[in-house]
Amino acid sequence: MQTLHESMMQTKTVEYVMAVIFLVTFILFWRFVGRKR
Amino acid sequence: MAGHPTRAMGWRAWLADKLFMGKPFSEYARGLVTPFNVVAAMILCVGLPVTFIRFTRGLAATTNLSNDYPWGLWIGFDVLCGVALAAGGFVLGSAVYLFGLRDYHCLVRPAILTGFLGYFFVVVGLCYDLGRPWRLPYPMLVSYGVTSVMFLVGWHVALYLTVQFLEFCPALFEWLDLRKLRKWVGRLTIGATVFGVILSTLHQSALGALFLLAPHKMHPLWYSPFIPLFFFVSAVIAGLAMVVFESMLSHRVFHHQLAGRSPVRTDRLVIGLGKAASVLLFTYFCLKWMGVAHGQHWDLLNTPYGYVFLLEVFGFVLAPALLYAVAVRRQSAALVRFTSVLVILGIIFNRLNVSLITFQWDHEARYFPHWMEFAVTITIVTVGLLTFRWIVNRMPVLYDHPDYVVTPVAPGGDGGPNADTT
Repeated sequence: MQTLHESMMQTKTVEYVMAVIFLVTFILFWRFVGRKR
Repeated sequence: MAGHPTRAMGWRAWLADKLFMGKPFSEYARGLVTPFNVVAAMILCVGLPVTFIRFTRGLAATTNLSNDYPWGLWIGFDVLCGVALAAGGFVLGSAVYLFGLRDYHCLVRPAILTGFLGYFFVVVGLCYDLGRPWRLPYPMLVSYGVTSVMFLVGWHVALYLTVQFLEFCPALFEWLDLRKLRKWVGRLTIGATVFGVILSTLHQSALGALFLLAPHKMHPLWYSPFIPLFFFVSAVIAGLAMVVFESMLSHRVFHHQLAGRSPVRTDRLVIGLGKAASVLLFTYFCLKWMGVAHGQHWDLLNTPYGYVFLLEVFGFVLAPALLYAVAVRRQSAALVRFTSVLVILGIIFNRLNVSLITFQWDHEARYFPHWMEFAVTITIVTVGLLTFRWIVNRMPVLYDHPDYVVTPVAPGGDGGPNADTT
């Protein structure tokens, strides 16, 4: 059975991975918005 | 636009000139018969008797509220949506007076007026909802509940309403031709804006923090420890969208007051607001998913409430973010305006989801507002629109008063558009 510590670590890992993905997509989105056609 | 006669003409004539916009009373009264006014009168014919019933026979006679659902439409729509949609005042105020985006100055006064009236009618809506509305000043005067979030919200709304009134005073004093007061209040602009930003930041998030007290009543997809942050970021987005929406309506209804303003310049400003909103919406989209990840609620996404959540996040957050981005790239002000309507609907959807639709989600008994609750809400919105129109028709809100010169803000804050008179 998963311990509370393992569960928290899993959540943190998911959050960190998502944060990196969002940071990259945010930069791409920023460049998309900033560039006029 | 009304002229600005001196009080030498006699106070009665002066008052009539101010109230009837320089027209004879008969002509002014004839001008009141319009389709909008007829519909508004019909709404008031229902709303005012309902108001009488509410304040004479109580909440039980006019609402479907219960111990399980003590907050209904009046809190969910009138207060939560009203406060979020009134955020344009502090967003534009800080952009222009604090961050120096002077181009947007022409949008500040309408935004502050929208914000002020929005907050004022939030308080009106709150008076309907409170069991004993005459005790509204108690947290300020009698009972200091310093450990309560509600105490925080009450103080913030009261102070911010005062600050917004001060911010709007320059237009009021220009209309009344009170030059000394106008000069004095102009000096408060920077201070009032800073104070307003602090208060707005705190109380927009405090409204979200109210729901931290009900973790078991809120649906897990909407409950998050980050909910104060969600409320604040979404309120800033709502403020930007409302400024665009309000400027769109003003251009249709009050076009005679905006004759001197270049449509190209207005479109450029609207596109700039759309750009800011797109970046914020994308940030909000990311934050919402971080909330889901933090609570480990992935499994709930494939449920009926999960579909509502996905509709909200993809349909009313990501889609508008992308639409704004496309609008900015194509330099399409029309698309920014359309997207702003979508954003406003999205904010209303979010606040109703949090406070009504998914609240007590595991209860069998569901709340649906009484028809009188709808009647009161529609009446409040109608009176808000009538008040906005009454003020804009008389005071220099959409245009600069010719007798008052716009000067740049001095570093010390003693200046700005509300600075000095000629």
